[in-house]
Amino acid sequence: MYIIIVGAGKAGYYLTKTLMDENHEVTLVDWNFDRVKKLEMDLGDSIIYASGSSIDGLDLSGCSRADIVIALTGDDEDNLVICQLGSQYFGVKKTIARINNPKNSKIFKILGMGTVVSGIIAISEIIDNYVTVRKS
Amino acid sequence: MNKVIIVGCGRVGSKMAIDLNNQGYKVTVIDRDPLALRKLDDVFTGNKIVGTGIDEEVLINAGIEKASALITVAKGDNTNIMVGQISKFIFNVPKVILRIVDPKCKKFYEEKIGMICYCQTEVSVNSYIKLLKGEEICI
Repeated sequence: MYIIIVGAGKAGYYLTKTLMDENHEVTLVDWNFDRVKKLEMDLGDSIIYASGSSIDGLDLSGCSRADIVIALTGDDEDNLVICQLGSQYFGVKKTIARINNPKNSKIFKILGMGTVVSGIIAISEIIDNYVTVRKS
Repeated sequence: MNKVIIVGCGRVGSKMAIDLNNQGYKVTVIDRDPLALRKLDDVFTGNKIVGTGIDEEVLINAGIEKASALITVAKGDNTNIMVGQISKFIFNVPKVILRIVDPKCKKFYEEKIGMICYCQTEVSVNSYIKLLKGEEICI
């Protein structure tokens, strides 16, 4: 599968490595030049310097042939636009958006954003489960 | 068209707020930077709210449920796109106008998502070309 990941933070980098190990074709996209240069030594052609929330940037990353677009930036408004452009402009079948602020989970659902993932909600639930189990 | 919310109090947002206020509109301005709202001092008689326009609670505080229009002119295109969609699709504001600087993106949100968008890049490029050719531009 061809997977585009936008946002080369810790999660983006780690996910890229994981998916590459599973033999997927991955392109990681980031709009921070220094970060891209640093990761290029490790990732080579699999990372590109582009704005992943613009039509031009997604085009450059080969979005029209992508199977999945994953929006992993630290800004929910960027993740929203990445997924909307991915699905409705480039026709990508599956988009996954990270939600940084749990408040936005409802908004993303109402706006029909497909799959959403919130690190904060996931961690809270796991820890909450652990606390509840220990108590009972 | 009485109650208008403006998101973003930069040069455009602040001037628009003052002009609409002078024309008798009830204006509420939202900006995450309290210093930006100082541009409205003295002359402006509407409401000022510190916060981000992508936060539903901030929008509710600004009276979005009773607003007849919302114009979003925050710094980033993506912020305006998110604020615009929350206003139109979640709060059903009758008229939502958003600024998108990127012409390609503007076209997409107009045609595919059905938003009313204003692209100053397109407008100013046309004006520069007219001025270059010695033609008049409307202000």
